[in-house]
Amino acid sequence: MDSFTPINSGPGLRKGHLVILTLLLGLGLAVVGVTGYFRLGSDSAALRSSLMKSTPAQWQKKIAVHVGGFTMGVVRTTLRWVKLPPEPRAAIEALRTAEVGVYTLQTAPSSVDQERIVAAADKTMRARGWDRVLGVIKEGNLVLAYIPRRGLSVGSMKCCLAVLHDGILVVGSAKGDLQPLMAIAKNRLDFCVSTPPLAL
Amino acid sequence: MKRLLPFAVGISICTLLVSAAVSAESLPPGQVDFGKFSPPGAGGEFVEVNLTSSLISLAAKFVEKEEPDVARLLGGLQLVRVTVIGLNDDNRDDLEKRTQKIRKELDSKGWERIVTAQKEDQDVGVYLKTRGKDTIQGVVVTVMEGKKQAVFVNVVGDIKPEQLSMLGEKLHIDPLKKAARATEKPEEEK
Repeated sequence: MDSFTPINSGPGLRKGHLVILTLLLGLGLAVVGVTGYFRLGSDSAALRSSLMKSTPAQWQKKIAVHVGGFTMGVVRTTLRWVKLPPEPRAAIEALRTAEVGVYTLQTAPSSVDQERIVAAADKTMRARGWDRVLGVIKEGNLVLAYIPRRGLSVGSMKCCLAVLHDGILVVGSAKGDLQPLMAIAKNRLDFCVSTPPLAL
Repeated sequence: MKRLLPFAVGISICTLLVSAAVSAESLPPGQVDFGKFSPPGAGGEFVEVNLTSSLISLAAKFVEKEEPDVARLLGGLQLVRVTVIGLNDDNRDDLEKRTQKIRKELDSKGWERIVTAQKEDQDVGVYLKTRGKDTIQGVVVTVMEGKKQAVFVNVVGDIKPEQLSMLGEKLHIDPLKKAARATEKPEEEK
C-alpha cells in the first residue's frame, strides 16, 4: 500500500489558491498598514501607559498618528520634484519616523500627582533603555523628554516626549538623521543664544 | 539545614553591602549624587536637565567646525546635570539643609571650594574636583536664591582649568563664569 498518494490538483486550482492567498495577504498587510497609521509605536505606547496608569483619572483618546519610514520615504522622494525653501526641506529630509498621540483627562487636572507620574515614566523608560534628559514641572504643566541610552548618533537620533498641559496629554516620538539639519545649522544658525535658558 | 541559614543570611547581607559600595564607587570621580529631588507642591517650578555623554558628543559634532574650542570642551564632558527647584514654605528648610549637607560632603571628600558667596538673599558655592594641577574632573555649583529657587549643577568630565570660563559661558552658569575669571586674574597679573 502506497501511503504517498499524490493529490490530484490541477495547475488551475493551484493558481487559484495562490491568488486567494496573495489577496488575503495583501488585504492583511493593508489592514495592518492602515491601522498602523493610527497606532503609537511600542516605546511611546509604554510611556503613555505609564503616565495614564500612574493617575487614578480616566483618559480619552483624541487622536494617534504614526508616520513610518515607508511613508516618510515616499514623502521625501515626492518632494524632490517640488521647489521648497532649504529649511523645511532639511526638516523633511531629517525626519525618518514620527508619531503623536493626544489624550484628554476626564477629571480635574488637580487630581494628577506629577511627582508620581514622573517616577512611573522614568521607571518604565529606564527599563526600556531610555534616559530622561529633561523634566519640567511648572504651574501644573509637565514636560518629559527621553533619549535612548545607546545607539545614538548624528545619523540616527531618537527621542520620546510627553507633555501634560491643562488636562491634555501629548505623547510622541521621532527618529531622524540630523545631518541635513546640521548642514542647515552650519550655514544659518547663530549659536549665540540671546536669552540664556539657565541664567543662574 | 538550620546551621546553614545564618550562613546564607550573612552571605546575602555581605553581597548587598558590597554591591551597594561598588555602585557608589562606580560613579566617575567628578560625579556627585545629590539624591532625589521632589517637585514642589502647589504648582511650584521644577526643572531637571540631564545630558549624558552621547547627547553631549552629538552637540560637539554640531559645533566642531565652527567652534573647535567648544567642541573640544564638550568632547571631554561626560555628564551635565542641572536641577532647579522652586522654593516655597514647605521645601525651603529641607533644601537649605540639603545644600549644607552636600557642601559638607564635598569638603570632606577633597573637593576644592573655589567660591562661597553670600550676598543679600543669595548663597552660592562653587566646588571643583581636580586631578593633579591641570585637570578638573568635576564641577559642582549650588545656589540658594532667597525665596525664589535652589539650583544644583554637576558637570563631570575632563576639563582644563582654562576651559572653566568657557564652560560657564556656554552652559550659562554665571557663578562659574565669575569664579573662572577670578581664578584667571592672578595668573594674568604675573
